[in-house]
Amino acid sequence: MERMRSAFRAEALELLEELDTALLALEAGPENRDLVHRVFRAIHTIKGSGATAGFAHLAAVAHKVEEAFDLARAGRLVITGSLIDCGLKTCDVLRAILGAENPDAECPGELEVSAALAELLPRPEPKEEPRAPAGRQVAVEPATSAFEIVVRPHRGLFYSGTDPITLLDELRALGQAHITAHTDGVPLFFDLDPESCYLWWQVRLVTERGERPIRDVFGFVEDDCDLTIRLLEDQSSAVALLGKIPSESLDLFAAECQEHLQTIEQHALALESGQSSRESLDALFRAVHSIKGNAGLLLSQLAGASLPGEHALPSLAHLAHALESRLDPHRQAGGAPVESATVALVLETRDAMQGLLENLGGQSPGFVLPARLLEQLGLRKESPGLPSNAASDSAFRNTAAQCLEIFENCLRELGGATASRAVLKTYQRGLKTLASAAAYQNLTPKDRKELSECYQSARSKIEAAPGAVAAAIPRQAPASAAGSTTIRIDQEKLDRLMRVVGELLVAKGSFPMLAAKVSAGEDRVVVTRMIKETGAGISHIADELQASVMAIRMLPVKTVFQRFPRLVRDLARSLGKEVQLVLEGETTELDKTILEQIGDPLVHLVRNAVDHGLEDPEQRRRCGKPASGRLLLRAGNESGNVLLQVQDDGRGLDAEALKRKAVEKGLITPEAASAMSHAEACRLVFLPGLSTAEQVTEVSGRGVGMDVVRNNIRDLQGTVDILSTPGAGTTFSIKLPTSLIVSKGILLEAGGQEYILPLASIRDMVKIPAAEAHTYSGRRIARIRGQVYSLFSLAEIFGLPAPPGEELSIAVIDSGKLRFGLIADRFASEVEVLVKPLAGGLEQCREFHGAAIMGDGRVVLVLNPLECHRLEAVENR
Amino acid sequence: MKRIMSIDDSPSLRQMVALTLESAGYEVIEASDGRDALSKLSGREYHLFLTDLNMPGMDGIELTRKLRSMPEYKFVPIVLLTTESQQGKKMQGKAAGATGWIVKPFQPRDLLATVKRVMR
Repeated sequence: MERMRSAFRAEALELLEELDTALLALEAGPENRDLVHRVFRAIHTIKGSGATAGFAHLAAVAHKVEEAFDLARAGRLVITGSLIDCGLKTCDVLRAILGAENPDAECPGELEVSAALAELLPRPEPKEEPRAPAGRQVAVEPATSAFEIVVRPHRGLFYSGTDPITLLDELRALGQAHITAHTDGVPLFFDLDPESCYLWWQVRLVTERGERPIRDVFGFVEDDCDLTIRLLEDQSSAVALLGKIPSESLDLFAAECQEHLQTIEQHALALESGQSSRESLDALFRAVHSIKGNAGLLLSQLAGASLPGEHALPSLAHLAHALESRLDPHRQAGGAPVESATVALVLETRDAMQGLLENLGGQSPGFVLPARLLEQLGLRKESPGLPSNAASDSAFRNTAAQCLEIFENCLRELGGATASRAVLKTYQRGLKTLASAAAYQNLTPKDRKELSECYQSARSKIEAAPGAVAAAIPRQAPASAAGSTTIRIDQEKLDRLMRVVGELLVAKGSFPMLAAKVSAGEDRVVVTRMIKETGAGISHIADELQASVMAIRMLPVKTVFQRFPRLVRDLARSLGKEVQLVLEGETTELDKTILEQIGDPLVHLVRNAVDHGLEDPEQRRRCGKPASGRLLLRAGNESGNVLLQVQDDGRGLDAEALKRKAVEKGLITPEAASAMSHAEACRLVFLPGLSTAEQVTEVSGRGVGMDVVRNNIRDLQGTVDILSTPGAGTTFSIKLPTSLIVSKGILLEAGGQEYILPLASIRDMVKIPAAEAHTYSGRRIARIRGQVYSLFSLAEIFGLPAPPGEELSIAVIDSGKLRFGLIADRFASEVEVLVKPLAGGLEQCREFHGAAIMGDGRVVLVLNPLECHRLEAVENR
Repeated sequence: MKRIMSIDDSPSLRQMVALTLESAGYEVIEASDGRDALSKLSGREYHLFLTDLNMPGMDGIELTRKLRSMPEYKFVPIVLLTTESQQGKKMQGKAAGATGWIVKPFQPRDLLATVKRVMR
């Protein structure tokens, strides 16, 4: 600070010199505007720098004279001799202050100057205090309040150098924030201006600091965005939920609940079908119990805050408790077997819980519990929410007891020869639950001691378990994780990845060695050979690495299949049909992205099969089939692809009716229809025009949105086919790539441009003399290896000039349904590429799967040959 | 390291700014007015400009306008150093493309807080 002060002193003295000179010049020529500005700037700088350097008193003195010259500058004060006089006198005062030992003391002459200045200045108008407009401020703010903040930046926000993320970060720093970004304003790629801000945000914020700091966050951008800040209506629950429970805990709770609900469903269905009733009942009971326990635990963390009784969380605990009580008698020795009415009740309760769970983060009780359900469970609507805050201690005790029970079970199972991962996981979760529960609890020292002893003893028991098992258990509860994009990975896959990375590190070590050999002037041939060997080794490792990483993204189709038992059961019941669902190959693995997107098309096919494919029991008996229809969902690997099949033994497609309808709709000509084979006619269901509801009943077909199904699958670079035998059933076969990430392709040139053609779609690559291609009714055809193919030139498809040549380079494409040849200028090489989908408006260019970045940074488009064919065929028409 | 340009005709203010920011781990380049600032850009990456409003030569508003017209600095935050008596100037600066402002006199921690607000 002292360094700064002395620097200022030197500067101020210089400025005062300048000020003196300027003032004297101004006295001689009062009309000179430049001089007024010079005076103002000098005094302004003295004031500003002085205040910053800690000369508050000096700044205050300078301020008065600055004010006078500011007015003079604006032409509102005439430059007179007395004004100049005041200025010069102020200079003297300022010099005195600078030289004084105590810069804050009053200096001689100061009062006279300020009195003289006051004479000159116009009477100060009653100044309006800068203050926030009325209505903005909340009169009485509770200590902690929940706000909803909606920020809609104007398009040009970025031009002010503002990064909206900094605003959100500032909000985050004020308390617990839940931020939602809205993308509905983002235009298609063609219209997108990368310099414009299209996003807007909705923030739920629980803060103790009131509204003022929130406003301040937007101080710089008030005019650059539309801002609304309001207190949430349902304060208590919002504050309680967002404020007291970290959102990670809520997410974790929701994720676990989801699993438990899945378990409940699975075992309820098993109970209904009469399989392994005892185990199913126990598993079901445990899941319900866990939901209750977890919900109770979260509620106990609210400590002090209360949630309204109809809020999702207490309701959830409430339902779980009631269901648990209901099931308990069945578990007792000699308990009655679970009848189907109870199973129905379990499922209904499960659905209600699901509804509540989805509404967990919301403020409003958007999900209303069906009154009938409450009645059946023996609950009345007004019965008090289960573990209230008053009962927080007992909730904790229950949780702890439950955890201990889990530990006991785990330890028993660990004692056995095989320690399964599931047991460890359960144990781990128990520890975590206990740890987080303890953290939130006002425990007495005695409790704490007991708890810690208990924990220690559990730990030591675990560590006494076989080495490998102990190693698999984290030393302490891991920080909560599990967002929506997390992925559960099999330990084995991670181990494999680690192994490969290890190998890579070892391989890396050979480079310095090679470098040393080169600089030592080792024989060129020897070194070259060694480099080649090392290269081959690393290439091998890279392949391994790629395979390992891809394996991590692979999940069993079980995750998709498991929703079908319930779906089929409910559907069959509502239609009065009997359906036996068989799942096969549930362990077949598919890329996560594909799995996420294949669900809807599968549901579609399964629905159609139950609804339209399978007959009702009466009809089936008449046809001599068993009353119960059989629906098979099968997954399996087939030559590098995954094959999913939906097979029913129903009535099959009425191909004739389909043809008739297609002709009626003008989709095909009558001639084409009569020439069609049965299989071809069945494929008509994929035509968009045949997908009306009325269609379905008339042709007893399955037209509903089949074109949508096909398009969805095509987006995944897959194909779908249909096989139907009248009276015996229908099979849909979906062929999917196992992964969308890395694929092999052929780099080719067409019309002077580079493209990549996926290897999987190519059946053959040949060169033929140009003379062997003939033109037949406007189409180019050629005989290749004894087969006749239509030929399409890629250059022509994309409107590029095709170089004439003696030979044609042709890639033969065979999709099963379509066979044709694509003509390129030349084939360059086989490449491995990472295909990235085209985004925004470009995704409508279906003739491309996406784009790939080559090793040297070039971007090359990846062709979708089937769509290229379609494009050409349409243009030819 | 983030690079900041501090533009002010008062060396002592510049020094105070530089001391504060450098002790917080930023690299600071100083310029005495708008013209000097432009001559010191030389296409380098800057993460923030802190500029005074009233300066001989080229003032802060003109500088802001100039910076905004250059593709490299189109979106870089610009903070104006103003005094309370310059409300009108503040709005003018905002219109020229300034990101925010800090009112003189200010304490080092105010400066750091503002810098952190506008710069990620």
